[in-house]
Amino acid sequence: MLRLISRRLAAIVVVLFALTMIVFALSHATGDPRYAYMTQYTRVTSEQWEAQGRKMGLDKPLVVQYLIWVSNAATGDFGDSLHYHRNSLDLIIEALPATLQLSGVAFLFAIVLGVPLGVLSAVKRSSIWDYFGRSFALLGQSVPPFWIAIVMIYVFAVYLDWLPTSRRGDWTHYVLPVVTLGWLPAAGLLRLTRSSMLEVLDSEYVKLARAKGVQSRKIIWKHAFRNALITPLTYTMIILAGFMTGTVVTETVFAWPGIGRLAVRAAVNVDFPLVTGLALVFGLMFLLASFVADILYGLLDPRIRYE
Amino acid sequence: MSRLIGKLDIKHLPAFAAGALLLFALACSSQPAPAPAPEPGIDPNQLSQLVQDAVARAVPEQPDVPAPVSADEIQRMVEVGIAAAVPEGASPEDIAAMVEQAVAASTQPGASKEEIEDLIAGAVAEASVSDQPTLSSDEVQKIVSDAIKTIPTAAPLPAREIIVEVKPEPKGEFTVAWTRLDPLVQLYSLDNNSSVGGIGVDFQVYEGLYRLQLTEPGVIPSQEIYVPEVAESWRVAQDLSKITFAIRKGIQWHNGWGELTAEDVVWTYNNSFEEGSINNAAESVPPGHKKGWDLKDDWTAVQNVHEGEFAPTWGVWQVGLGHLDGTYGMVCKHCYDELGEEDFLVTPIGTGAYKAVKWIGHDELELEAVPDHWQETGNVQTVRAFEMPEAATKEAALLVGEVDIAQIAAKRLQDIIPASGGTAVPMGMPWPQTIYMSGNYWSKWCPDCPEGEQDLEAMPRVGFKPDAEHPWIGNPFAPGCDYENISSLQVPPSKPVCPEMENARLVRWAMSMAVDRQAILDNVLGGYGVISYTHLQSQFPPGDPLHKDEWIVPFDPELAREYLAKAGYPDGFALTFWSNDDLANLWDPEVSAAIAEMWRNNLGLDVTLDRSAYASRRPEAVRKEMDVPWMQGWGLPPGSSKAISMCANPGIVSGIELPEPVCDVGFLPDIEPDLDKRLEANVEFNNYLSYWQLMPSFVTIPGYWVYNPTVTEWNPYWAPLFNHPVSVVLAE
Repeated sequence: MLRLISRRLAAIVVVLFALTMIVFALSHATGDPRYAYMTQYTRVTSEQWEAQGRKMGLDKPLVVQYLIWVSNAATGDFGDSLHYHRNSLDLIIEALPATLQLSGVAFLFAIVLGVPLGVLSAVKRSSIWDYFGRSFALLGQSVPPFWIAIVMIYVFAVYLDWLPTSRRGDWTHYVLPVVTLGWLPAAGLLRLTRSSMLEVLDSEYVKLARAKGVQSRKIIWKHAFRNALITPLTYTMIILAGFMTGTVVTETVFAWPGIGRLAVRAAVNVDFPLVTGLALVFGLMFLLASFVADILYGLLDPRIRYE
Repeated sequence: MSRLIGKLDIKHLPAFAAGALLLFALACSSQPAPAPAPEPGIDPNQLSQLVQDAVARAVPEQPDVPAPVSADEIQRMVEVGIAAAVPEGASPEDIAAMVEQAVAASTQPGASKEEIEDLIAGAVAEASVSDQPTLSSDEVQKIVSDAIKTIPTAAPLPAREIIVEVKPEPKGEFTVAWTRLDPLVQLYSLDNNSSVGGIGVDFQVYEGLYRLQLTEPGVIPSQEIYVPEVAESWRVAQDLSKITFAIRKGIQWHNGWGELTAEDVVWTYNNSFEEGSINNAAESVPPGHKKGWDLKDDWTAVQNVHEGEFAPTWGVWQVGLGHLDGTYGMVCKHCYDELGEEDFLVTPIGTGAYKAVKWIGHDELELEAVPDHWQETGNVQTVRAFEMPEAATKEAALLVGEVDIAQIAAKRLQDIIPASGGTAVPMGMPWPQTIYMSGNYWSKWCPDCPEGEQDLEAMPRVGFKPDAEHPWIGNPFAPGCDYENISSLQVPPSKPVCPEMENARLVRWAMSMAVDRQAILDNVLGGYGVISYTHLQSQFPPGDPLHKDEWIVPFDPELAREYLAKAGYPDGFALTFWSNDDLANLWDPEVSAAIAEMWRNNLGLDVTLDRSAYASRRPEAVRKEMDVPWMQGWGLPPGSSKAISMCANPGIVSGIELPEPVCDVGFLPDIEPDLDKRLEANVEFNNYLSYWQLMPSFVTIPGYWVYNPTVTEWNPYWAPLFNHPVSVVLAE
């Protein structure tokens, strides 16, 4: 297990290194960074322009520039946001709780709904439950989240007046964004769990267990489910990483001040330091989620552990 | 005597001019007749000069704010001022009597401009019926009006005791939905989002030197009269080298930060002008007025003006006419010194009727009424603004009462108003949905080129690509093209133009004629809006005496295809059409989608609709790299210039740079005090734009804000965004 962890950590370092190079290259590919710092309203002489270049290290070789940028980023210094004029990392940290709260609940929603329904759908194959589960999955995966969000706002907030339309608040404020956010991954989880379960339920050892007269509930949850869990588990980690890096559409429609909207604002405002900071943080989150998934694989499947 | 002259203040100028004219009128009417020879009279130029001189004398530098003057003092001032302009035949005694009579009958301190203008009109009418009128009524009226308009006039405020009304304690709360709530950056040199001057002034957290008059909804306020705010009065130096502002005493900064002084005013402006400043309000200040401000004493701030660059319309930029955003709200210098830059940037400290207790960028703004505010205390204790970027969410929040006031697209009013029971208020100028035919860089002047290399033979802009892939871009520098002919305001040009220009013009006309404007208005906008043909049409719409029928672009796909074939593109061409959808409340993405579809269907163009965010492509426009048609358009009040965005300048242009002779006329409205002359210049400019179809417009959409029945009263200023929370009254 220790070997697996060290291998994965080494891979993370390599990927992170590649990520920093990509982010750095892309940020320079968009043109002279001075244009981002000196907006269209700035009037500067050529001397000032050059001075700003020296201040930003643009007079140095590209490799040196990269190393300076990476060393600053490693200490959490992505530079001050051009839009907010505050430390970019502070802004990311401030926006993160709102996203974590929403995505945490949506993550639970997706798992609690997707996995049991997937199992039910597989166990009760071709029954009304199966059709219900598959319809739920079909809708969730085919209807765009922004449409679901707006329709739900009009139905549950405007016409029925049961729930608030938007913004953060008590538990009622979570319902609509969580459903919007969680439906699509719940549908994915449902389908994956269903297909995995069907595969496992059709395996020889399950048939043997049945032949031996093991209780149906025990077969499903102990023998089949645990073995069917590996594929959905990968997916849940991807969902989690996706949630943590912001959910742009949901946050925009529900006026939720999270990291997704921060990223959109940063991109729209050509906020170079904040965009690069967010890109690195997002990348890091994905890597961590992948790392956790890998470790869980190892725990669940000894074959992976001893590869 | 000079002491008396020195007491004159700009706010007495109308009274002074009125007195002078009355005197002149009375003198004319009392001439002994018949005279042996015709009186030489005073010709228009001479009278104009006299009035101008009188104006100059009326505004000397004077640090002290003069107290309201008595009728006796006004009489003496008029005597002094008019002494040099006495018509022959009138004795000093006659004049004194006339002046006394005129002053007693008319000018009282605090008389409104309208009252004074009525008096002038009466006097002029009297003069014109005298035995030997030297000028017609209209001529005299015009001369006096012009003279008065050279300097923005302060609308008289009632005495302070009257201003502070006895109001019940502020109570209750209301909420505003805001599309984009920028973070506070409380330092002008770093703020290119208008947080202080935009949102801060809109929500009355900050106050400017003066502001626009409050008008009825939909009524454009005067561009010459402003209401003093932080500045109690102002005077233009006789040599036009400076403007001296007397700062009102007793204005307190929020949260006990003490009293605002002239030092704050000076610092506010100088900070916005400093090198490297990215402030967009400073960008709109006439260059001549960026010389810097001086502190004369605690209550006097002096704006210096570069010699020979005094802009008669200087008053407009300080209030951001057309868009309240970008105006100057005063910020606190000693707070900056004490807090340090980092804390000061995010700690809102204004002087307005509401103080900000929470300002979280792109999320929430919370305000509380300032008790016993010097100007006007709000009726409502707490004001909240939430950022709601999605239009559908805003509508829903308004319908269920989660917000009380929100901006609603005109096309949605027919559903929202009956459902909410709310009231729609038209705000700001309507937005023309215009397409800038970018890439037509036709100027020979490059202000952002190195010194000595600014006069060009041909345009080196990156976006200037007059080739087969950009058939809408004309090339006036092509061999055989007569640049002078193309640069003339005369349209059609006096001589035939070269194919490189004519073919591109035909392409642009084809693209304009292939769009069914009526269909867009009816089907996309639900009838809310008006058809438009040129970007400046809001200044002279159909039915206006200045409107010209030749500006109308017919919907004629057949002729459009014919034009395209004639230009050498019978099968159409491929193009990218940029229309950002992140500012949907200004430029409707559905309109651009309809236009793109009509180009595909009616002309066979291969259109790629680019929905990139505005900010993402804006740098291209700044760097003059823009080479695609893009949808934009700003509603401009009558007489405003549009030339800045289509004439060479170091900042942003629309992807179009017109020849200098055309720009000279385009920029006239920036310096011409007479509204009629500004409009005339814009008509001429519009003729050029229309003939060359450089900025075809399609529909104009009015901006509306809706307030719920929870609000019984709200009187916003004429601006496109929510403002003036002090006027909001809640239902019991």
